[in-house]
Amino acid sequence: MLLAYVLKRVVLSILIIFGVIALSYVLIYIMPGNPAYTWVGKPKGPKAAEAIQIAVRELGLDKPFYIQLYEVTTRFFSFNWGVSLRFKQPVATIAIRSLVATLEALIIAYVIAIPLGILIGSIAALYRSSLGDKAIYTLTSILIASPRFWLAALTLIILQALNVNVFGRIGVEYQPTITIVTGSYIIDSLISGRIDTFLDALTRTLPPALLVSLYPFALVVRIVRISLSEKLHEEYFRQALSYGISGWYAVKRYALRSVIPVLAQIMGITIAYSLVDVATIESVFGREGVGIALAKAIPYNDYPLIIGLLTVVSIAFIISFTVADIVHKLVDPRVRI
Amino acid sequence: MIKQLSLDSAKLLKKSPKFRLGFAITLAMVFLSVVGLIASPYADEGWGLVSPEALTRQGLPPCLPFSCPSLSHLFGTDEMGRDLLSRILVGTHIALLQVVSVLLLSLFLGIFLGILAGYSNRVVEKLLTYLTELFMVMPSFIVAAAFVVVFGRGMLTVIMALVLTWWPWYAKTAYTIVRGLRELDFIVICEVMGASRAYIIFKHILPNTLPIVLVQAIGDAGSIAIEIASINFLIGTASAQSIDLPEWGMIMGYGLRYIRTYWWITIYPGTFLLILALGLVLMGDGLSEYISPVLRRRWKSWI
Repeated sequence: MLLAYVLKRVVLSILIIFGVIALSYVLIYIMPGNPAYTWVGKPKGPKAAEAIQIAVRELGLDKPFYIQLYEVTTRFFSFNWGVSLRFKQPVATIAIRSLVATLEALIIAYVIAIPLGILIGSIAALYRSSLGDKAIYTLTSILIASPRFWLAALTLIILQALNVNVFGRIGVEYQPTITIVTGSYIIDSLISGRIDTFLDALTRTLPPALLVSLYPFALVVRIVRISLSEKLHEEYFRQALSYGISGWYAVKRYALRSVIPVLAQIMGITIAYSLVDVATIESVFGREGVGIALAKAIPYNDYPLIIGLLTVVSIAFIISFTVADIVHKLVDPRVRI
Repeated sequence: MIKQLSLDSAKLLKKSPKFRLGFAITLAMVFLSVVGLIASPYADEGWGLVSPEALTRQGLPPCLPFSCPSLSHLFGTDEMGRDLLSRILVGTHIALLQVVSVLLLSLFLGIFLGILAGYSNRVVEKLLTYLTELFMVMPSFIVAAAFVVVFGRGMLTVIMALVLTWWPWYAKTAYTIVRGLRELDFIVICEVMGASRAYIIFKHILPNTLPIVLVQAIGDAGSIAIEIASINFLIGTASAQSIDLPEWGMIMGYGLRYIRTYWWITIYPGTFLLILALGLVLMGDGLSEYISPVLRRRWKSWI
């Protein structure tokens, strides 16, 4: 039964991937004026007409709509997404490279945020309405309400005052020491066996990742605090306590287990929301992720690159949503049908 | 209905200190926005005009930290010599307007499509749930960037992009509630008695759906404020020429390139954004704690 659910979910997410491809193509059509004109970056000058002609052929605008959709899908799966106007490179290369840099920071942020959030949240729930709980609540409120890119700017000012340079993804002197395999400098340096490069890449990733982790951390603390204090008043938990099982052990063994499905459900959404944070924080710290790629694409009207980023990031979302849903079903026996 | 609502909010204000604090902060922000509209110190500069007076302030040598914001310009001036305080004050109503319009539009769209999906035939239901899932995975900031390229920069572009990616959350909630409701006896009896669909929707389904989605939406308001600012921040960092619209996020994003010397352009609008979002978050927390009976209970530490 579980397998059937997983299969159904995977089929649905593949359907959604097709939907995203189609939708990103329809986006070209909603623009006022000639789609080919926007696709090549609103050119001016003598070569403009020629460029538009090429774009018409590339997009297949002279063919019927359903054939265009079919061609767009096949082009997508052969990674032929056009050429970026700003970078003069294939869109697929840049989009995937930026996504990897972004995911690097995002994953580190969540690896830090979730366990720490569960720990602090449990403490707050156990000592509910004590002074410490109030302090934790106030702190999480402020963290949720503070714009993370603003915190990043503050951090940058402080780091600069201290003369610490963590700008960018990797130091210039370390650049030639590694061979690019995955696109993630942290993993690549390990593959190349360069510990110094690894440390450099990690120290440059950590400040943005820590800043990104603030929001999921605060959210996890809140969710654990609220749902755990609900659970602490339920029969089975009081029963466990009355058997003389110590408080912390009972929380770990019984109460937290029922909180994890709730967390898994929320995390998919939170990752989607955190992506905006990563993008802005990256542009503060000068890491070449999705945020910087986008910021460079906008002034050049680099439409192919924006569409490419849209599809890769959406697919990353779809994967994270699907995994969160499946984890939710896996750990929560009640929803197993 | 209106009487009931005002009664409820009066009770809420009396009972929940969190809501009271959040409400006070939000009210203060509304007050600030009115002040910004009618009495900002340099109103023209606030709207983005580079006045002759501002021109004389341009090109001054970079000042030491804390010396440039002075008595006549509390928060300093931006790169065009415009008074930053006026720009923030004028921007307050834009920030509020954006949050309210995104919230209302996505609420309307979400509830409409959610009820439609929950209370119609299977084909429409499947199609709409698919559409909900599809728009849920669209990253708002990249959609916004695409819209900026297509329609140009502006307040409406960002609002449109955010509404397009935000309504699915409300549609999902509304859909779940309606799915549960339509099996219940009172709806089934209404149907058997021959009540029209419109009657059932407006008399029974909407009143039972709206409050829950509304509470969720008010809880989201703080996040929406930050997300709007984040998107505008990205657009601001991408902008090649100076920005006239006094939108907090855009001011911050454009100011980012001067952060080494003119740090206040990025820092001060963010402080206002923090206060606004804090007010909205506290309001949402107070409301949801008031509604949920489990959370309202007083707990004692028990270990």
